[in-house]
Amino acid sequence: MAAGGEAHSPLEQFEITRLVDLNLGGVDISFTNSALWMVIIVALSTLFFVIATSRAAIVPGRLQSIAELSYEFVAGLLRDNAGKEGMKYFPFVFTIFIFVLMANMLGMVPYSFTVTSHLAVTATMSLIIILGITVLGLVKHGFGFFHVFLPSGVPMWLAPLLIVIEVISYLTRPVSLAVRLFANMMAGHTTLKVFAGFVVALGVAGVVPLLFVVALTALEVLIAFLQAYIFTILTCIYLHDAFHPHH
Amino acid sequence: MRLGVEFVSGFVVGGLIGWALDRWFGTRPWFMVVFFLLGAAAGTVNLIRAARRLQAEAEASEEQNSSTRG
Repeated sequence: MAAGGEAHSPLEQFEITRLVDLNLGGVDISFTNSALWMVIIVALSTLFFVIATSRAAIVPGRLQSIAELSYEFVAGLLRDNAGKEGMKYFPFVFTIFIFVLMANMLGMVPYSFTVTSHLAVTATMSLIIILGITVLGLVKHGFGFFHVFLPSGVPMWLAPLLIVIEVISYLTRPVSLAVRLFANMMAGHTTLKVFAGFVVALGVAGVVPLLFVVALTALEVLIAFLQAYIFTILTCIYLHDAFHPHH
Repeated sequence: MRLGVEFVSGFVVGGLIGWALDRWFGTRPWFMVVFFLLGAAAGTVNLIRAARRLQAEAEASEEQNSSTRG
């Protein structure tokens, strides 16, 4: 069977292992490898921005330019998609972008764990985002926020049907937000591992899948960035609805 | 991938709502049938909106390119 005697499943990389067993009132809150990587992500990105902005110069150095570029990038996204009011929530959106980007990119490091390849993580993030935006919209507009569910200029007899469809459409937002990120990361990493398995199994002919793996790795880096971008831009677009419930 | 998820999630959410309502009222399978169809409609609405957004983005970047060139 597999060379080396050990059979590694391409799905083994997604396994959750407990590092420290913790139990709080019957709830299992063990510190897992997933939690460890999330801590690493937060620590690394905090460290990076602290160092990058510690010696702020008018002519930015290399690190400072990266920090400034990422600021400009997210600020532009937010301004274009959520409008000026959205800039108030820049810290939130920026944190989301950096967290997802770091999670995806660190996932590309061999032997690391890709946090965003778990639906539990992405679903939690998207639920927090959508619930937060809904609460924000209700606070800002009160009952007027429900205009989201009724496009203007709709004949009255169509309204009941359209409201149901719009409500379902609204409820799909957390689902699509979470599933898109999770599915992309999971599928990409599984494909990489499957092709890497071919390299070993095919011996000399393994050069062909090896070339594939190299190309796929480059593609995965692109996808890691692209998915962080899409996650952020959709957050901005949904945030826009909280400020302007009228379509 | 981006558009596919938008579309399919409509079906999934519609189906789930119908399934839950059926369990609640014991009316299997009627709510599920109705909400599956409504979910399909919602998925289509999502799809159209996402496609429009993509098109607007593409047009915006095209305009930007032509304005910087010209």
